[in-house]
Amino acid sequence: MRANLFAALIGMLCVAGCGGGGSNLGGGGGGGGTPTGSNVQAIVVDSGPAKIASSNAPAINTAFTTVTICAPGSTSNCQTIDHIQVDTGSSGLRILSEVLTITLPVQKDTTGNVIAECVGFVDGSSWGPIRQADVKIGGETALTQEVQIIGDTSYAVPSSCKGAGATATDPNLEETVVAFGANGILGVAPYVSDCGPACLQQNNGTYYTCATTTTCAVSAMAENLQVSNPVAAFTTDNNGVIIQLPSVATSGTAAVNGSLIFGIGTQSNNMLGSATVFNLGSGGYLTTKYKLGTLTTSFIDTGSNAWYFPDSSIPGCSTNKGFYCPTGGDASLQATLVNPVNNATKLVNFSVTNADSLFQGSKSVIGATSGLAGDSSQFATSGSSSINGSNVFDYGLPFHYGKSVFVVIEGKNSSAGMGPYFAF
Amino acid sequence: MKSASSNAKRVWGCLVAGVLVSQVACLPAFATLGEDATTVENDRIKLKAQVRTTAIAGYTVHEVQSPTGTTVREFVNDSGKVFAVAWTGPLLPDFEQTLGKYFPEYIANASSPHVGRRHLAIQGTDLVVHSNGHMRAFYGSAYVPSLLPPNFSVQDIQ
Repeated sequence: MRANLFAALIGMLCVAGCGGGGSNLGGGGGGGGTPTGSNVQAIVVDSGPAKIASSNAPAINTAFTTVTICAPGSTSNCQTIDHIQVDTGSSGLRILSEVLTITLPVQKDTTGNVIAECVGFVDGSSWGPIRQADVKIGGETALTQEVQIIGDTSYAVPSSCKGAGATATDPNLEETVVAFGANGILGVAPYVSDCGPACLQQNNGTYYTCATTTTCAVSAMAENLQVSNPVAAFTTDNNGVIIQLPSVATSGTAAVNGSLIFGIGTQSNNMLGSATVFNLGSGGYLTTKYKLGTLTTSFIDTGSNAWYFPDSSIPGCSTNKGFYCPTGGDASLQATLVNPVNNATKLVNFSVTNADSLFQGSKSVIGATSGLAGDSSQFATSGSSSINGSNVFDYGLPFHYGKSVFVVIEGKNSSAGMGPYFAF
Repeated sequence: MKSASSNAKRVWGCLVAGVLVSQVACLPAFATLGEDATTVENDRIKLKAQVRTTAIAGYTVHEVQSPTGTTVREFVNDSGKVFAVAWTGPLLPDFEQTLGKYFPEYIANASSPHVGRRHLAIQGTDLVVHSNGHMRAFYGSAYVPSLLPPNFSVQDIQ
């Protein structure tokens, strides 16, 4: 089943990463054991909510957590939702309308029009209005947040909102749990607002305002009205998060448990310690030195479910196209992450396993594997030209296994200076 | 990767050096994949974009930067057809506009069930796409194999 699933993926998503020992969690917050405190929320890497786990495309290397949302100011009109994807590559909370059982008020702009969003991810866009909710995660609360309700049909999809991610019911968008891959997504990127300054421009293709339920038009949107990282709005522990996961073998396992820890250097369980800081350079990227190349559009991202990088020396899979299938055992590799601001470096060792072998046959469901890796660029050849134009090295979720990865938000301070930065 | 990097430097080195560079909102403009590059000034206007053009042996590169900060580079062959596009910036480009008649193929191939949200690879007979990144930081390219100039290295598409 998994092989079929992957064959259908047209090649995306991969990773491998074999971290060090499980007790070495890096930084100062490690030391083994499960952290506790009001600033800690459990995360799980598994096959996803039931609808997805039982589908022909179960989740793999996707971190989920549980979030409680309430109508603003209410302590009774609340809903707790599991399998919300934890994503350090986006900002803000989005919930699939399909799982929402409470009523939330819409967010309006200064002229009284309802705000909606056509949010674009690389592999799919999603439409839905912005509604207000108090967001509670672990012991932390962010009041009156802008939350996108994906697939909420209260406001008609404008014709200009198109993107990858077709479903039978909507040929252009990801509007269901199965199509989206989670019950929602919690964006805890090192930014506050999701779109940022780009959406201060009129033609942003992302934010819309709706004069009526059927007339939504693209619109500039102030950052304080954009869907935003709720962590930045916590009253305490609000300068970032730590993603902490145990080591995982390349051969994979059904599920692993970890922690989402709020705040950096605000409690005894979230100290930065000796972690190496990687400030984001222009365009939000880091730099990687891999083999002979320098990849200037590198990024760390829990929302990617594999390592993605270009390496024409590793055979691609025949079944799980887009993934790597090294022969003769796992390929042991190393990449050097470079801070583009101060040139600090850190070596990352990882192993890539044969994805076709991993998912072959009747092996039980694999929700997590450190050995999955894919090609960010390679498309065989065209005539006499090889095709390898990618500068991307994506440190996806497998990179996080066996580590504490710190994410510090823009404009927020820490013992290592202001965000935005990652550290590990 | 090394050669890709040096090729890119060559392309943009020419641009910076001002070889046949026309600055800002002059002649050629934004175009759509597979279409003529000569009839699309209206697209530039629609996008309120700025344009720089660089001529290289066998093809021309138009760099279009929209106010949002996303840059689209268009590669035009000697027949005047846009054979490749590449983008980088905080927002994805308008794919319907950028890919034109290839947009349905993009949609169709990008729509399979998937587990991740950061990478898209399409290798078709008529269209090749790779798209990476996350909110605020997107990077990718698309091209039409049959329109590539002779001996063109696709490593230059970035």
